[in-house]
Amino acid sequence: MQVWVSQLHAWAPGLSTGADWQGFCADELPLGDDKPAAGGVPAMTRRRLTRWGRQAMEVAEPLAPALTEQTPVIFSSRHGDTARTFKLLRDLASGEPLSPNAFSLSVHNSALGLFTILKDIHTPSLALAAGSDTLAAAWQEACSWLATGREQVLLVHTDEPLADFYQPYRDELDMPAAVGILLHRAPTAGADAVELTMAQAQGPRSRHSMMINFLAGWFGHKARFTHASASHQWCWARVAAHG
Amino acid sequence: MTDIDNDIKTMIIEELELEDLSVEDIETEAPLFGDGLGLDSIDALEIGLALQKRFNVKIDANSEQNKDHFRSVASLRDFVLAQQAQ
Repeated sequence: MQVWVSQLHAWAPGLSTGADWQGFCADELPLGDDKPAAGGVPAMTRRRLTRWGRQAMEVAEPLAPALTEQTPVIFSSRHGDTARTFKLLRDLASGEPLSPNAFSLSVHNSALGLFTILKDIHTPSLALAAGSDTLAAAWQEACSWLATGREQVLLVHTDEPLADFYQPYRDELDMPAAVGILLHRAPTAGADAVELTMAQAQGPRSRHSMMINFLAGWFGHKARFTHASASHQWCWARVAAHG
Repeated sequence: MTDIDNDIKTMIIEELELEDLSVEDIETEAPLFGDGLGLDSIDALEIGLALQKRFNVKIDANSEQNKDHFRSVASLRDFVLAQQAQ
């Protein structure tokens, strides 16, 4: 299904403005412990967020003014906040009491929940994970909302590298990053027409995460860019925009 | 007294991730919740847990007096000292 992307904001350590991202290349992933400012989140709430959640808030914030009472919100993440989850599981295993704050924010929709509370959003919202297909699955979820009549959908994807304990299970190269995308059913001024298609997997999996390949293709202004997950071949294609 | 006051303030800053605050920023007698430092109910739970871990005090979750104990750093200190004296 062809949709229109009017705004896209991404964050990774050292990469925040559109100009920063122009030079982004999957072969040189950003390093470092930088956290985004997440200035739209009140300080007393922000202190509770790990980078995983702050990233999501950072990229969602500039899109918030465009939301209407008819704009569904989708947050997706392949792994969730594994550093926080691991600490809770470790405390449980050793019989320690759990941090009430960490527990309250350990669910997959915690960043989404905070965002909708802070922005007083009452529209349908959904937190989603779908393995190595997660970003594409979230995009398809957005398309299904658009196909059934919504004018626009907000999609926010955030991921962190797995916590150290889980690193032996890592199956793709990743980086701390988030992307917020405003998708539309119909052409709007300045929007890019994009179509995501899926085919059965053929050949080897992509080395990088889908978000990295997506951001490299998007900011590299490629006409089409692909990602091979464990089971599918995904292709984003920019379509010559017309009504 | 001052030592325990500072220990409690340090505990609050560390456990509640009040990264922008220092011990000097927290007034011993000022309210912790609502108009004072602005902490909320999750912070209260977090402080209760930290008191158990760091000062080995037991908190009765159903006690009517918790609100008084948790009013300020000074009241937390008095509560800790009273518990430790038992």
